[in-house]
Amino acid sequence: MITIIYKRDKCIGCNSCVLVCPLFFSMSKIDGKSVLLKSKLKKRIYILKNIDNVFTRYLSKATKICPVKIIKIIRH
Amino acid sequence: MKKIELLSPINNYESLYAAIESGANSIYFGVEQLNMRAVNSNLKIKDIKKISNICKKNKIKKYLTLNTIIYDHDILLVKRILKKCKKYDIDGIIAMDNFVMNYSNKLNLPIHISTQLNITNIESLKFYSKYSDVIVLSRELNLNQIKNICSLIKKNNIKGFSKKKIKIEIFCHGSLCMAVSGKCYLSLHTYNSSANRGACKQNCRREYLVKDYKSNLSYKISNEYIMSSKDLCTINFLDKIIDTGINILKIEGRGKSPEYVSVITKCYKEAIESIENKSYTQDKINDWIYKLSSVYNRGFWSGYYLGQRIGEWTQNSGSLSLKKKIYIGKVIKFYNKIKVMIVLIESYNLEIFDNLYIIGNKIGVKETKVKKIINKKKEEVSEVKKGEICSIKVQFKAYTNNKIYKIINN
Repeated sequence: MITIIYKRDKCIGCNSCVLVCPLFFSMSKIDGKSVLLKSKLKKRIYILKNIDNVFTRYLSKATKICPVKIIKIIRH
Repeated sequence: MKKIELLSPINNYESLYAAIESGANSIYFGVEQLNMRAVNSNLKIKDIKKISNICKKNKIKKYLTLNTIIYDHDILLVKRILKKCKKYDIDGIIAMDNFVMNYSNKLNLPIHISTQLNITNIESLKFYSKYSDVIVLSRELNLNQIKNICSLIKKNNIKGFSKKKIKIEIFCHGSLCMAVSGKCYLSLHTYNSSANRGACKQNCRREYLVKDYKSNLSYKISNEYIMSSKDLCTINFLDKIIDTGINILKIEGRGKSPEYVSVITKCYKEAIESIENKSYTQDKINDWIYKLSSVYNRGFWSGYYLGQRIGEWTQNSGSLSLKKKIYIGKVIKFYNKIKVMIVLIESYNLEIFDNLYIIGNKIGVKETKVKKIINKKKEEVSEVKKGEICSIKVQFKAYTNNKIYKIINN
């Protein structure tokens, strides 16, 4: 299982993660930043737990493409 | 003599106060991610109120920069920021996007046309004057061009959106970008990190190696940052700048520290005052330059204002032509009667059926195809390598020291 950690504060709204991982990210029209879908907010960090390992490669595209490097994957 | 407005950059409250104390007439700042320093900006929408109040108390003007590329998902945020600006009496919006201009006009917020729009002539200035009150001219103009634009504004009485005479703003100090008016793709191309969304990774500021692929040798260009331009500094000819008729002098540096803002603002404020009361002397200039050098800088130059040639450090033509030429050697002797040239190959190699350019002073440019190569031992060969001498028959007259280039596909 993997967990995604997303530091949304630093998002510059470039839309890249949404382009490569539309299953997990979408753009907010309210503040122009990306949203990690179904995630929970904990101490200003968005966390999405218990994702199947098959998404590892798919999600690593987002971690790589993010210009401000605020998306991280943790493998359990 | 009209009053010159000195506009300082701020990125946090420390630099805001530094600017106020150093005598800035106005400040500019960006909030959230929609400004050209998105990565190192800590100011949020809620700060607009506080900054506005501090500026009002200190009787200085405040402008908000909103000059990134705007996407559909940014529209609501832009509207929210602009409404806040209206509510808290921000004196102007520095904009490049047409939607930002249009919406600001709707709210009756004055617009400063960002330098990113690259205004370089009076006609495009006229076009944008319908929507704006201040035009930040392109950083690539020289003083004569700026003077001409300012005098044409006066002559034609060009008025801005709020029916007042349009004002001209130019950069007087700070970092310069290697790209024309900041329109750079390097950072996006290499890191997917767009400079035009405020996330420039500054590729141009680094030291680069030059590599010869043939020999696999790398050369370090000693201490030279081939794409990084020095910082703009105009304090030593500020009188000429003011003489062009501009209204606002802007300092670059929202990514810089508060002491930077303080020192630069102070020096330029003093310089403007000295010019106003006619005490602008060389001693003072030396003193200011010494002070300016004490804070972050990459060395100073006068930008493009004095008409220097541009882009001498870049060798990347970015040409889309299908052919290119590579230097392979030179003519060391030419036998006119039999039209044979003796060639020294200095790099790469020469092969039979190669197409060549012979280029030189008297010859101009001649093109030829190699049909026969004779080496030093008078044998016919199909290839000669670097360092070897050979003879080639041509149909025209060549001269000693003419250069020989191989034409290859790009």
